[in-house]
Amino acid sequence: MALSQLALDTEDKQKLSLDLDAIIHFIEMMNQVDTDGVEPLAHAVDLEQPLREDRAIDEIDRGVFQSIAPKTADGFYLVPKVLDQH
Amino acid sequence: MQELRRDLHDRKYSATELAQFYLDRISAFNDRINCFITVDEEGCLERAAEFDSQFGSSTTQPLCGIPIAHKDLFCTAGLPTTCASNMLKSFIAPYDATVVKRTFDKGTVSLGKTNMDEFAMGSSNETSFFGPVRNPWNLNRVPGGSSGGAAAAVASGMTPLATGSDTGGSIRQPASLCGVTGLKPTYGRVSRFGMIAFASSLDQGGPMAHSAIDVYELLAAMEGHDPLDSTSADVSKTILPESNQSLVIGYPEAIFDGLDKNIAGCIEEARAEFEALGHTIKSVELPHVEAAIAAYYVLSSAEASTNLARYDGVRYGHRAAESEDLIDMYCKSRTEGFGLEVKRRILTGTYSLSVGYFDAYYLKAQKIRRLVRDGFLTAFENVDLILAPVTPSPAFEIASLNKQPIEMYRQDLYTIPVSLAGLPALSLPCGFVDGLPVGMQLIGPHFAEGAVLGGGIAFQNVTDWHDQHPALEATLGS
Repeated sequence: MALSQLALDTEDKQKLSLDLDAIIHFIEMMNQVDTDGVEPLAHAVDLEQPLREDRAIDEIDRGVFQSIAPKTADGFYLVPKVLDQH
Repeated sequence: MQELRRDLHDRKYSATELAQFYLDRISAFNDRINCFITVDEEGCLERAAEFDSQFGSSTTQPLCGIPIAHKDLFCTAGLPTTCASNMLKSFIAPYDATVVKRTFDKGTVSLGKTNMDEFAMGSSNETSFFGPVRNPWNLNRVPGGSSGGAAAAVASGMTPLATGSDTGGSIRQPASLCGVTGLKPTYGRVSRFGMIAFASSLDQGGPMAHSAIDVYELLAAMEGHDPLDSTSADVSKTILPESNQSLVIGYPEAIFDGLDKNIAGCIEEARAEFEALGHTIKSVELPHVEAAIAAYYVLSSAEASTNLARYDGVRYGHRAAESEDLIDMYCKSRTEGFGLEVKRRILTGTYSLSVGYFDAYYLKAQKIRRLVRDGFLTAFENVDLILAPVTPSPAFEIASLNKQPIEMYRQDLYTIPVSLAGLPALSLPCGFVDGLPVGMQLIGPHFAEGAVLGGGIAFQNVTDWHDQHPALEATLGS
């Protein structure tokens, strides 16, 4: 689960692994469709990227944005120690 | 809503009295229906009083004094935006979503935030951290999802207007199951700025109300290019309802297999109604409907797994109380913050994006997406609109499908292909089955909201399905 950063307990793990088996079986239904030579489609609507003027704006108020953070100090976000661990 | 505006204008009642009327209904019924997560009584009355004090000078805004409820994934500055998740239960956004800002600028008075499936992932509103929403037509049934709170709030008369969002059917399916009208606009028509992301290539905000004309008016307040959303379209094609008397309407009978036969009967009657209005019905084929559901779950889960990577307990959202190191903090915060359905989608998404599976799942799904979209484009070479069912059955019982993810996913059979193709579709009531409302959808080509809404308005001019309301006073007491 490294990619998803989830730590499931045994009960959830059992339940989800059964669900995932069923889901993977279900999505394999896609194999019934012949897609040889078909280009993948990422966005359904063909639009040009609208561009705006490249101009700096100063709208982000650090105090406001950090007021909703779980832990901050002196304008920085605090997280558990990363160094000294490996 | 048309009547409310007229009455406000004629001063039959004040904006404050109108807001109070809806607040009273919310306090009478919300504890049993659970469609609101946050009710902003104070803010709502303050804003209404502002309109009353400036009456005459500020009434030029089209939705002046009209109450609205926002789905709880639209950011509202100063008011909680929870996305119905433990992860964001204390989150207060520092800014308004463009949809919130624009509807505010047009004069709406916000009543609060509506319940939904957690992170908009669900078709029954049972995955909400704040408990399920109940269908106002029958409290043992689901209202649909993910905009279940919005649909139930409109249906039960707790708000005349509501915003919703639709990724695979999240406006259209609950609208259908609750007997209200809702539109999924063309992808890009409505700004996604400040709308908490689920699957960014599919998510689209949209209006919900009692009628197509109200839906049009709310869409007019929401839509338009937004420089803050790089996928927001800068198109000149108007949403003004078209009153074309002789449309060619496509009818995809082949996908009616498995459709509840009573719903098929309602759709058949609607088809006859359109013929009586002078339109021509023409059979169309929509390919790969079944495979579209599978492709949708791959693509939407893949996008969700990357979008939801931002919830790390650092900048906002839930953080676990104790952790050994940074990675442990990420894992614990996410595990505690997300519910089971969200975890299921993240795992499906990371799996299908992982090395060795990417081509077989993600790329394959994108190829099917092209086939589905091209199928619609081909159909629209011969027809103006497509008439289709919204749901395979009327509202199902609470807890009847929530242990069977695949069965739940299959509820979106008729809405998903439209989402993959990015098309606009209006869901509107067309009958009742066993006392429960059912809907149909009118699907149009990209940016043809005007044709879709025009078709819906014409239908509602000659039918009264959209005027039926659940008898809450009788069943719940007032």
